[in-house]
Amino acid sequence: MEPSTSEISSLSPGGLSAASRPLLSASLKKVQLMPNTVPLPLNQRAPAADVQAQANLLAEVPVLQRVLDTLPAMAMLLNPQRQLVFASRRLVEFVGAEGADELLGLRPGEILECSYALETGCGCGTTPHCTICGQLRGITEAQLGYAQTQICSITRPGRSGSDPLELNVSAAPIEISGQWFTLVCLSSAADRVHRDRLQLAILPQALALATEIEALTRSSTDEAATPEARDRALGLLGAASKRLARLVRAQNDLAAAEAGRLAVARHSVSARELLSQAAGDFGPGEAPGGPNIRLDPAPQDAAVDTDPALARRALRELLLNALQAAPQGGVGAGFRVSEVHVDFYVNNPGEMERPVQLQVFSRAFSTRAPGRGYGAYFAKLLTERYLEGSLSFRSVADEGTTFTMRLPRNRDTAGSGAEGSTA
Amino acid sequence: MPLFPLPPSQRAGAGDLDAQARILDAVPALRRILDALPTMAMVLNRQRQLVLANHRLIEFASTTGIDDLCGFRPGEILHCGHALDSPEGCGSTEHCTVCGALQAIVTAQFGLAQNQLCRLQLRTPSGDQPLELDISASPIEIGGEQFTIVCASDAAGRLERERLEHSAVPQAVELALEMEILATSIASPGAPPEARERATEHMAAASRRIATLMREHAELASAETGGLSVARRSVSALEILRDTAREFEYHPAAAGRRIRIASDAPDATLDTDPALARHAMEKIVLNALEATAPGGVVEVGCRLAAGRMEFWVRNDGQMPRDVQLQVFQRAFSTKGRGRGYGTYFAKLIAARYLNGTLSFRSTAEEGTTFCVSLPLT
Repeated sequence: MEPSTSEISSLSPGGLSAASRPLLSASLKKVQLMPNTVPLPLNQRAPAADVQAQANLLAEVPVLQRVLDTLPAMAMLLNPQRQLVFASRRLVEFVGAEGADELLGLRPGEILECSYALETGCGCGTTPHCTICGQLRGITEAQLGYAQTQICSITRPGRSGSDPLELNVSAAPIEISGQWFTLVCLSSAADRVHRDRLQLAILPQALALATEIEALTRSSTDEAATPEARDRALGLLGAASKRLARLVRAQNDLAAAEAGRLAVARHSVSARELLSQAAGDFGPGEAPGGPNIRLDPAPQDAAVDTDPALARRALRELLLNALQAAPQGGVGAGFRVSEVHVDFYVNNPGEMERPVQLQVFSRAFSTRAPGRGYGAYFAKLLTERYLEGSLSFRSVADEGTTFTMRLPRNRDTAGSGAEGSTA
Repeated sequence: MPLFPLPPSQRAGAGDLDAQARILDAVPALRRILDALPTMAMVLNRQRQLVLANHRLIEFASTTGIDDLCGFRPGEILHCGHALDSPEGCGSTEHCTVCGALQAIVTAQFGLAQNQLCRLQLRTPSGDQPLELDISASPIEIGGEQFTIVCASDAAGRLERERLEHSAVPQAVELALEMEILATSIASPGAPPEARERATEHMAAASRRIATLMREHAELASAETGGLSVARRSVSALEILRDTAREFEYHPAAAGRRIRIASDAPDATLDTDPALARHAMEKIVLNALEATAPGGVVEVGCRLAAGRMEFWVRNDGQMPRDVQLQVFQRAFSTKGRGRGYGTYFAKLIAARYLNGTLSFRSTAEEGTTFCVSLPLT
């Protein structure tokens, strides 16, 4: 049975109408890639009987199911305690539930298997990570009467490593039969995130390199130039071509890594060699302030059981991150050997702000610009999904920021420790 | 792809529309739900006329309320140039036979929900502009009457990603690999001077191509908003043709194919921006090369006609009718995802920056000829 007209009151004035825009501007202007922290809302939940009563109330509005099931996006209705009281067919299918009843009373992060919501006993909306969650922000603003679109990056425990999901989250208030709900629509934001990465981060770099190569090619054949100048141009031409190839190939590598398509060829490799090769990968002009990396001496070398190309790649991402975070210099790297692991560390001066720390491993999170921010995410993906290692960080005012990549030590040599001089 | 048959153009009378609007008004939750959606949404009757619109659509259509839109069809509401040009409106023109929105709506009327891309030529006060929309259409029964719910959202992000991921990046990967190999052979001390010279020439062409490839992305957006600067000078028409052909010397699309400059091309001069003119020509030549089998020839030429210089590019083979109808649409391609910007870009440059036109003729006997017509002065 449809409710009567009197049971459905208008949206709060200034709510939807103030927030709404024509299509083209709406999709961009209301989106915030890096929201400021949001205060955590009350954690109290409605009793199961209330949730069931709200679900029953919505079930009496059959047009709701029919309309929301036609949407290309996933949709849910939440009660004031941010608990699900209605789910569209697409959402039920996406989370692999038997039916909407299975999801009743849960919060969005719990339904979408957000790792932060699952790792504490208190669930979605209660962890420090929730203070920077786009979804939570969208929903709490909608509860104040303002329709919102946000991007939410959710890390889900996948089959191996983590499985990130970027979502456009739009939340709007809606009153049905005298009760306020929040209508949340979720659609993939992957297109926008990938476009930004390619358009804003990769293309300008590739263009700069291509322009450099164009000029070097001219100088290398310039008959008016001295033979030394031509030779120098030739040398630089080779290096610039390699950098360009590496840059564009990295695009394919990231996609392949996420799809689990990277082949792993593990063997025993010297930790010292691995680190010095990764540090030596930086050409002139590739990092702000020049590639000045201090390699700390290590009392002993050790054999790491790893894929050297992938490990070097992960280390390179961490080094680049550190160089970009500390343009004034002071980046250091080294490794420590323990019984069964080798811990590679990369340190830069300066502490990361708390919101940055909370998102540093999120895909497409960057403090620099939209489209940047794949380095730490990619390094973690490689380390944890392909190299049986782990990647963590520590960031404090007096020690600066240190990322530690832990890789397994070669079993045959673990415990003995090859003697060596310095890294 | 077969052309989509046009549905009947008959419309419901005002009385029927009122009755349908009353049916929807009796379900007030419907409007609330549609208004809370993040996309434009409308409810259509069986004649594809709007009975209900959400506030996002009303704002997009720049009207004050639903009453201004009631009874109109989607193309008329969304300011589709083709719909506005036809006295019978949306769904009545030959262009409608390749319209994604119409296909989705008609399919939904048969009971099947559909998602389609709609490439719209948006009519604006400053001329037609392309707009791509992801359209979803689903059947819905309300008060015993059959309706179609249509949602429309901007497809720009998705298309741009495809363009970069499926076109620009793979091309750049290929070029970069080629350049890496060339750099090694240029630096090789044992190589004979001629081989080094050839490799250097090849390197110069490859670096130019990769720079153009990267630049084009920014350029297209800039061209669409009128941001390209024009530097006119007196230039030989033949020089434009030769420079265009030279650009394909090491191009993979030209492998095994020939570009022939017509012997009767007059060596006249015209006043234009040579870089932009060449850019437009390169797009059309690339299109022609891709439509030409290995061993085939693409012919280019020019002729003087009524105070204008007409550059032409010809290849064998006729374009199917559905391709002809969409060839100048942004993001339309027969070659796969991420493609379909060449002819659109060429037309944009010719029309908006060079005061010219781009047209084509495609028949079984004569093949396909694109013609860029530019003023002499």
